[in-house]
Amino acid sequence: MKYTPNPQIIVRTIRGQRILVPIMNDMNALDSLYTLNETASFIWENASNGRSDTEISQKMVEFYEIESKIAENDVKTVLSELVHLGALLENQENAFSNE
Amino acid sequence: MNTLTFSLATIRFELQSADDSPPLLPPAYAPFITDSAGPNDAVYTVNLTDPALFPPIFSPAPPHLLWACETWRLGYAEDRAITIEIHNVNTDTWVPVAHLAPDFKTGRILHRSGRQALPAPFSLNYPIDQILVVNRLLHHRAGLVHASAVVLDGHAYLFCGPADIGKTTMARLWKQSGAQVLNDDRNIIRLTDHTVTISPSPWHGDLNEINPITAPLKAIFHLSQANTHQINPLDPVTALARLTATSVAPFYFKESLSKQLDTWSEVCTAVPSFSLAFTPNANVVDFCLVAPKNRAKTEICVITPDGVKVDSPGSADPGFLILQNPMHPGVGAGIS
Repeated sequence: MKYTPNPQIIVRTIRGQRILVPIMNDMNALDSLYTLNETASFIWENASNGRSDTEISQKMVEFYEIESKIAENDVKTVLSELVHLGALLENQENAFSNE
Repeated sequence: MNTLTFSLATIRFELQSADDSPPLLPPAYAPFITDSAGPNDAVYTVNLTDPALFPPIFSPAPPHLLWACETWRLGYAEDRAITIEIHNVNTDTWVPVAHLAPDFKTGRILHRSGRQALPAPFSLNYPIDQILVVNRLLHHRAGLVHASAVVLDGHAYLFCGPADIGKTTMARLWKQSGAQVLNDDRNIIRLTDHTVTISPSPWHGDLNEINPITAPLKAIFHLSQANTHQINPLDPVTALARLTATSVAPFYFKESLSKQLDTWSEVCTAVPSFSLAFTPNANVVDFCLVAPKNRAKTEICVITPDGVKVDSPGSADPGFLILQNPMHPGVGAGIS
């Protein structure tokens, strides 16, 4: 699966960490500011650059020198959360790719 | 022509009256009214009484409707100008009261206000005044925050938080220690080439006191209530999230919000921020004064009435999946 950043979300990066701020139409949406630590930012950035979850896991294994199982699990969890928050959109065109 | 100019953080707004009467502002604006010459950032025609001059929001849904709350809403008129409407609670209708250029630099304002959209007591009323100001401040690397501000020995300290968290209490405690209160509810942060400054706004809280002082910002404290004092330094991105959450900002315009975040990012990098849990005790002032000097990112400074104890943090950052919502329930943008 590949992903696209939601254009209604503004992202800012400070010292490797990111804040996600949605464009809001009412006060209830103010519950939706999120910060990503360095690792979650890594996953976000790679997803935003068009990499699939498999590719991101591989990148994590190389960058952090961790086991692939751990990387896969964390990538899956973070991406799922980012999609649930509306920060990332699943790219349905690639839903049936051989990734 | 009858005109009146007020200046906030040196940004000038001119009101031009459509009739023979001079523009009239609430008493809280008195420290900000100026008769000095200078370029105006924005000019508005006020004291208009003909509703026909004010087209409604084209449709009460996105993409024309940009923001809505119980008492007002903002969106595009058919001519793509910005329309602000207030809600008449008696008739359950929306009344257009402002027609503005998309950059908020010019426009006209209907002489109506309040929950019944009655003839207004002043030429500029809530929510129009704050909407105009916040949409112009961001073009000057400035913004309005829901915070009290004090100045002591030439340095400003900012205390952020939602209603009833203790902003006014904190301002009173500092005043007892010799500080000047700029404003106990809403203040303006402005970034210049060399420094970050604080200036008051006309919108105060229970402490009916505004001092038109501009001072360099020394530290930002995000308040919570506790039985003892505790101060923890915030990393810049958490500080940015907290500051954004307490901003009175145009969250409905992507470009404007982006500009505001750019300014807040620089502010949070340049000025130390802390979470401050406190109990209303005068010695909290000393604790706040110590914090910016003792700002180690990996230390947690716990300050009790008996003295200062510095601890190292406990467990390390687990590293993976830290998606934190820094918001507390009930934190609002301060624009209701």
